[in-house]
Amino acid sequence: MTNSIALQLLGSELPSRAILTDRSEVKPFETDGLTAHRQTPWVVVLPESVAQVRTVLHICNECRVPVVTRGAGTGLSGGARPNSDGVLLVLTKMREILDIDLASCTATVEPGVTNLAISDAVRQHGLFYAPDPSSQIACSIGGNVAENAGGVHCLKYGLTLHNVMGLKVQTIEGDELVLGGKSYDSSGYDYMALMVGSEGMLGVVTEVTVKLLPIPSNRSVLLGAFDDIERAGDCVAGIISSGLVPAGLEMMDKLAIKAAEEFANVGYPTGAEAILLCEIDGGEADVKQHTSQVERLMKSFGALDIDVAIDPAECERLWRGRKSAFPAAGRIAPDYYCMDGTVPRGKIGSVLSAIAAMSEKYQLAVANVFHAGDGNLHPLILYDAAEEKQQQRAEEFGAEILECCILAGGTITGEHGVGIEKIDQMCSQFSDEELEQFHQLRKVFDPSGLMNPGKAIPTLARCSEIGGMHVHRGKLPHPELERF
Amino acid sequence: MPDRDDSAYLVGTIENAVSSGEPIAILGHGSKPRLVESDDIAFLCTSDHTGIIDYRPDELVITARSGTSLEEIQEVVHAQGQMLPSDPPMFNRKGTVGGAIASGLSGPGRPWYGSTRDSLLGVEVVNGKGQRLNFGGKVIKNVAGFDIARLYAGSKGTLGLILSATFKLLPVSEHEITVELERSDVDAFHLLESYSRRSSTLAGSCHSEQTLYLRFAGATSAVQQDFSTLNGASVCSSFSWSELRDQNLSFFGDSSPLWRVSLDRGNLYQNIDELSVLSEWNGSLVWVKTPTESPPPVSTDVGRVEPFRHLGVQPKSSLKYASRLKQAFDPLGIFEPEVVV
Ligand SMILES: Cc1cc2nc3c(=O)[nH]c(=O)nc-3n(C[C@H](O)[C@H](O)[C@H](O)COP(=O)(O)OP(=O)(O)OC[C@H]3O[C@@H](n4cnc5c(N)ncnc54)[C@H](O)[C@@H]3O)c2cc1C
Repeated sequence: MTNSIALQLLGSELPSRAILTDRSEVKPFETDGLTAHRQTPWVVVLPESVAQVRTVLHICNECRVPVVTRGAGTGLSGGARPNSDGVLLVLTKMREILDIDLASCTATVEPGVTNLAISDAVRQHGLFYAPDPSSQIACSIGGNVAENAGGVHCLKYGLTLHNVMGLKVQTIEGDELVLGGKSYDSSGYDYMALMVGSEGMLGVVTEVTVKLLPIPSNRSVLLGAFDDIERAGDCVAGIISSGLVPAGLEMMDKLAIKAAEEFANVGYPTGAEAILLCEIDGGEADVKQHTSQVERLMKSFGALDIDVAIDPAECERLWRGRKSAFPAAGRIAPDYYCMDGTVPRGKIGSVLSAIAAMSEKYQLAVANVFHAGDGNLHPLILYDAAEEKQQQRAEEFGAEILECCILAGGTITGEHGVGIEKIDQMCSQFSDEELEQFHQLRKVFDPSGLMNPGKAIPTLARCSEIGGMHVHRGKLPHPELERF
Repeated sequence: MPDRDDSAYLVGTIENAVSSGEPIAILGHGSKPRLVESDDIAFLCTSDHTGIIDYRPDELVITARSGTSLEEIQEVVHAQGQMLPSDPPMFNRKGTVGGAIASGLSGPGRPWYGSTRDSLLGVEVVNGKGQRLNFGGKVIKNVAGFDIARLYAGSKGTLGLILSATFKLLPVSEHEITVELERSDVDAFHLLESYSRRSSTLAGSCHSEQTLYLRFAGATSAVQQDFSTLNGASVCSSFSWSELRDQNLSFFGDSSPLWRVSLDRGNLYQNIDELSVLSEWNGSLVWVKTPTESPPPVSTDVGRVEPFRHLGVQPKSSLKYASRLKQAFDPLGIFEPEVVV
């Protein structure tokens, strides 16, 4: 009933091109980057302005219709999976760069602007936007904010949270929150910290002001080949503790190297057990100095072969293999499942060994290509969904990897978010009281729970169902807490 | 300072407050002004809850109890060639870890090294129900759940007590110099602006009364290169960035009302009233002293003025989301009741 009223209201308030209801039209929005999980949305709305976003939220709030916000739909944790009786609010039409302010070195953009479009627009001024997820040609800045996206260069330049200066957020109750701006550290509660990484559950981000940095005048890329993956892991810790801050420090294991080389043909050493890719950037003098420092370090940790590129085209060649790792994995197996745990850097070696053992147990191959400098693992579990039970095995394998990351002192997600994918592991990472605090926080911005319901924060009832009475950090759960 | 786990006492006191309904105010070493001056509130002091719980230099991560002094942390990490990136003020060398987070203040390197909130990775807190909760963690990248750890930065003790915190560290630069130049505020502004669009080793600025101090930090060769391209600069050994950070410079020495003016980046403070002014953070943080208690004029489209000290610090009026937030963490109003920030 309420849904039909909502649809009528939407129809009367918005241009008809902004509303899709036909099965064929809404089908492309069934899933985000976590393609194994699909759901046909009830209705898709594509607003063209902040006013239209506010209208949609107002109607949904009045009619108690759930809203799932979607950017480009590249998310890997099912965060933008639609709701069968809700509105999918797709922001891709709001893609205007509103202001490039050279005095403050900031850009203010609409949420649907792609990550790369920002850097493209400011390159002529010698500037760039630092966070660079591998999906940067497609993913939206609104989605980056909602997931606190990272990228290859976040080791030196920080995550989305460190590079966003201001936000405008629309709440389901019709308020516009204007957070931060072009100055540093305004007083008051840090709502911006809450909005970044909130997975569309606290409000709709409709404007983003980002910090722009000068493009470094020089850079170099080193590729070190190792015959032992643990030694490569130790070298990561060695570089980090030497006092250097590389722009990027990535690692690939044998299967990932092989797949990338077959795909991109960039001259990677396919015989190596692991490679490290290390980028140094800055002025001419420091790049020179730090490059030779990293080269010496790689040697001292037993690198068999070191390729040093300073020429931009050569640097690009060395990165190309890494950047094509995902499509390359797609070539060597019908399906892959990308995991995203973070562990302390010193645990990389042992966690990789544990993953190798799990690969035997589940009889599924795994390729590792990841942000080693941040300790952010991306095991790609290779499987074939057409084969009976493989999908389920892949998911169980993934869940065990995440549990292993928690045990190693890390976290179940470094940059892809919880979404629907890791919601059960939230029960392992957090206590009932902590989850309850998340729910209370959520109600601050969304008292009736209409924004992206069922994502990211599990109900206590769900946790007790999946884990029996799960025991967290040796503590028994508290029976006096409300279960809902 | 001895290591001491005082958490049982701290949690116990909060639990008692929860059952009795008696509010409490959290205190570190008392180095920063309180939100409300009131006599009928009990203080809960973290200064006996001290010690570094975990420090792994090769991970660039440190975890410490909230009463640990910032000075101790800086000493320990400096010995390993590392630093707390945001370099929070230690006022009278008494500042604690908990106080640095709760006040949310950052030192002179903030535009280059990030804020205290930026380098905060995780916290253990006690909320207003007396529950011990962990948010964030000990790893650099972590997006599991809402970022409640960073919400505690700048929360000024209104959302609960911080028991311990984990910070990301940075290596200390190989080389650092401070240079001094004679520059008017307009000339200083243009010089600083020219740095924002090219890579350099600039890592600190302070301008007051025609003198501009710049800090360069990085690889030795790069620092030297930046110095050699600067006209009329001389290396200065007498200027101390930590004295600036802790407000021990003579500028801060008198008792006139002090205002913190936060400007949009790229704007020059218009000192129409010829007030006494000191700016840092590339000119976007300006300290202004006024002869009376009325605030300095600042155009609202480029900046915001806040009283800093020697003034009754007024909590913000109860905004809808702020009071709900307070309610979510402290439903009974145990911590600084009625106050939201
Ligand atoms: C090949 C590939 C490589 C990737 N590499 C990386 C990587 O290196 N690093 C990384 O961090 N991620 C990576 N990702 C994941 C993904 O690209 C990021 O999470 C990205 O930030 C999602 O942006 P999006 O616009 O596609 O968001 P969507 O997938 O559309 O949405 C993601 C979440 O954000 C919410 N949301 C979207 N827009 C808004 C808004 N305006 N307001 C409020 N909530 C909103 C949605 O509700 C959803 O919960 C990769 C994905 C792919 C497919």
